Amino acid sequence: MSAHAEAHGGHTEAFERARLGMWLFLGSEIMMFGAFIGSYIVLRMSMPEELVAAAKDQLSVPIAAFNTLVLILSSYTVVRGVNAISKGNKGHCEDMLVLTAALGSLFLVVKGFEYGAKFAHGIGPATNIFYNCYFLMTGFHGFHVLVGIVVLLWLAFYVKKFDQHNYAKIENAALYWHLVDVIWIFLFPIVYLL
Amino acid sequence: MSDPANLGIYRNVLVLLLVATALTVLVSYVDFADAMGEKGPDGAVIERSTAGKAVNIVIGLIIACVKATAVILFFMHLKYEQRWWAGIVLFCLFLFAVIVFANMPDTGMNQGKPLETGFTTPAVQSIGGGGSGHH
Repeated sequence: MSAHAEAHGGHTEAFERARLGMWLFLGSEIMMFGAFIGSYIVLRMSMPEELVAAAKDQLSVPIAAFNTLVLILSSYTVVRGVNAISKGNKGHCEDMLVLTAALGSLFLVVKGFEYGAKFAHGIGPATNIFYNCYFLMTGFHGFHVLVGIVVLLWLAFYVKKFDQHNYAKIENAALYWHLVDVIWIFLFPIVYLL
Repeated sequence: MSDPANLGIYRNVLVLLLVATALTVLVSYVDFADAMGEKGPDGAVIERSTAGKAVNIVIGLIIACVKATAVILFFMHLKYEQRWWAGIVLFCLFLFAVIVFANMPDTGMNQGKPLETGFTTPAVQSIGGGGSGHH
């Protein structure tokens, strides 16, 4: 039994199975984004330098860095939510889940403005191979953020159903949210900075 | 049941992530390709260094890996799970590496020349000629 499971005393097996199932699902998510990022790396090595330089001029590093900070903070707030429910503190857990969803929404709003600015300049997924990769990766990531927000708000709404003995769904939602954060941790440098 | 980690650990990880993000942005403004490139008598860069470009990329990716590892081990509690669960993540990363390296020969056969797909070239002109800095 893991240290995690031991700490939980009884009620552990179902909880552990739920987490394991989530990790396997996250493995499939890593593979999907891995395929996108892998394709981008290979294509990027063949892109003319002037194309990349021109595209980079159109991307805003400060805005993306701000969004990175927002997602990192949201990872912290969601883990605080898990910590709260593991101690039976439903009120604090609810606050943290709603705050996490709010930070996720802020991320999407900023991303929306970024996309809007691109479209206003006539830049879209078909503009060139760089922007094709950019919109594919950030678009799928944004969709994952949206799904995460819906799940977190749903859990916050039904937080009364959970307690310190039964919070596998909240832990799993948090795992998903962290993975979305981890993917952005890689997308930020490879798309905006390098 | 209880959380295997504690708020102190979470706070430390948060600080690490914030500092590492700031570091990533700062390092990205140092252009090693220019700094390590060949310079003329007037100090202007004649040829950008490929190795310098790689330095930027490697530093950026190392910092990203440190950040991701911290999130996975502590926020996602993988450190406190059964050890073989880490294999799920590692196996996926291995397959990811296979995807990248299996496709490398395709890039290599291009001998560093730009892709000529017809899809790429016109866009270089339309964007590249439009100046810079508008977001």
